[in-house]
Amino acid sequence: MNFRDRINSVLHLSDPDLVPFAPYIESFPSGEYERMLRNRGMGLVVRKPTVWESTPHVPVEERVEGDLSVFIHHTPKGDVRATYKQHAGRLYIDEAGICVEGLLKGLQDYEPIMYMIDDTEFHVDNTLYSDTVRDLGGDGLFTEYGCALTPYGHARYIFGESSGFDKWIFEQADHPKEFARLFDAIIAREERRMQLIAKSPSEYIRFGDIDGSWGPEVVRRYDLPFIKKWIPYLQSMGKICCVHAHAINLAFFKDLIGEMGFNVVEAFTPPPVGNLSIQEARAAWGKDTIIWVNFPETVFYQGPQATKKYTQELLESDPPGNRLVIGFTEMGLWGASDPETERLFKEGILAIADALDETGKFPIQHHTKLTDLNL
Amino acid sequence: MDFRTRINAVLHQETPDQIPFVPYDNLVPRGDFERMLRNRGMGLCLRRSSIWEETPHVSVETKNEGDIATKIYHTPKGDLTTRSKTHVGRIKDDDLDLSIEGLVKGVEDYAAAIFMIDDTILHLDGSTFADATRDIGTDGIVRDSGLQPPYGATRYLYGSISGLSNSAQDQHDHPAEFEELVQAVIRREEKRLELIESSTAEFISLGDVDGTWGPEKIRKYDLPLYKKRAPRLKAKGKITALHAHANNLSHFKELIPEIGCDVIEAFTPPPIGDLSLANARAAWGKDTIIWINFPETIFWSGAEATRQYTLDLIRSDPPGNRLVFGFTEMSTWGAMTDEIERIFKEGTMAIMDSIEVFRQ
Repeated sequence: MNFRDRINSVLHLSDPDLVPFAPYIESFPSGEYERMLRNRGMGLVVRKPTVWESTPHVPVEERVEGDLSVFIHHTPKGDVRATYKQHAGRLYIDEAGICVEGLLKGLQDYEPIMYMIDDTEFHVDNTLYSDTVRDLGGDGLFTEYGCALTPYGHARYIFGESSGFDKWIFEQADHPKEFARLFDAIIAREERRMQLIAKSPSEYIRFGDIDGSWGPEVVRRYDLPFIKKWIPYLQSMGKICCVHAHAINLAFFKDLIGEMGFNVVEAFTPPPVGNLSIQEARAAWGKDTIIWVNFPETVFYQGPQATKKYTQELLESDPPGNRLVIGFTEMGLWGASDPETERLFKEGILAIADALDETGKFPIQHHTKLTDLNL
Repeated sequence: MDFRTRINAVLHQETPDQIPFVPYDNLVPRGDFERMLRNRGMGLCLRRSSIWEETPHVSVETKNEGDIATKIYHTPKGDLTTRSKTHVGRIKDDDLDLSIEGLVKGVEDYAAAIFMIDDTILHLDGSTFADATRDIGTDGIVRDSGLQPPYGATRYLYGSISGLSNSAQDQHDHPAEFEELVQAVIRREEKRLELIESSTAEFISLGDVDGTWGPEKIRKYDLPLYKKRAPRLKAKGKITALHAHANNLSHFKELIPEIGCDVIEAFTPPPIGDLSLANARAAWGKDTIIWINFPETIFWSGAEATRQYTLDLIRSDPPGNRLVFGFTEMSTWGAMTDEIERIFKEGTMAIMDSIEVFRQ
């Protein structure tokens, strides 16, 4: 099987020849090492939004001060600003900028931001899909990235990422009415977005994330109604929907995820980084939920033999392996910026590839310690 | 030889095992076809810049109306505006936007433009280059961006296609003012070249020969800077490249050796260009590296014709150790229909077939 057939077998609840190895394309920049892995069957997952947005009545002013870029959004209801540190190196998989000041900082910012949200117009560019699929051929998978966040996720990140964490917490408690109005504005916008996402030519859709920095009660209250409305509809349109569950405290969301109805739980990060094992996840979510692992790179520091053993045990913990994908969704080789890290990561990733070759073929047999002793 | 050793053999005036085949990395997007080509020895040329710029006293306002992005540059000497059509698809290398209105529309904009140019602060960030070099390993080469030749940089202030006639007229109607504008660009480029000299990049770009302005303009405005800086860069161990994608290159044949670059890249032979490889070699000498931009129109004649064309091209430049084949303008990036994709893929494989035959 080529990679595309393999991943599609899993996504369509059929049987692959072996567990797909499917990192995000950014995790593995082009080079001889990446080519070697692709020759061994690793595929590339490309995330692009076919739906893009504009705010025609909100001009944005950018001021650059050294490596800081300040964006000032001029709305008829007032100005709001966000600041990014640029040229920060490879801190994020997608870009080199960090938000150091979020858009919403206090009560005075709600009206301008709600204006921006209401002013949002959506446009469709399906060439991003068709060109990418043509490029990839049998070597990859396209992910519709146009609805990468749920409504509550959108509300969260208006405050900025790390920089706005405390503000985001306090504002909900101190100004619940204003926050509720903000959230309603976001819901209205996202309803418009989803009308277009449902018509995306892409079959595989990324629909929001489980970040872990807010709890299941908040997700139930704010996002679950939206998810329960749209996921069945998208699935009835033939879409395969994934949630990006990179939270390291996923055990707290175990039951909730079962209610959400996603086909794929992506960025699933097992122990020792996450607190939910694949067995526990499988028991909670059923045999047909596809678990797409984000491999925890910290394991690499134990050495290649330990990494291989870890990977084999991971695979054997979820027999027969036809609803499992191994990938990198957070860092991969992209983050290996010094020779030592590069060496460790490359050895570790090769160990994963070796483990997949030896143990990842369908059907994976479940091995117990008792069985090993019997040999 | 792995690809990196092969291309470095050519760049360092040694003998490779075969002619390197190396498109710009973005022109052969990642996928099964690209992997197959790389498995056959195709390398990738990554164009990265270790220099970033800021203009601290110029704020930029962006307005988006549908697919038109308007940028307004607010300077103490007045405002300048550009307009781009976004989401245009793959009609241009690198991005999906098209400039429809340039920064400078006339001489009334010169004061603000000169302010912006003089306000430019350049920073060196070697990590971009270092990361790309580490990533690509032996599968490619990284080329840093260097000089923006003053006359060309001034020309592009008017916008790419949209400002052509204004650019031509203003030079003749307002020569003194135009001279001031070019001098501002020269000041900025001198600062850029100081940084480039201290960068770790070995292989760098020193601008282009576009073909929409003639050799006299280059002699007047750009050549002094080249003659001052190219030898200094060579002394620092740099290997310099000139992007000569002009299809009227015969008019620049005598000028190019005076510029002093080691590599003439994006060289597009007939039937698209008007300068044959043999004539270029005769004019530029045996040690100038000629890096071909393969003319994709040949593909439409079929795979066999493409093979023969490629072999004839290679045989026109013996012994072939100062020759590189590549795509610098389009390749499969521009293949947006099934038919074009099929033809381009067959053609690209035919190029590789001929390179391998010649090696034998």
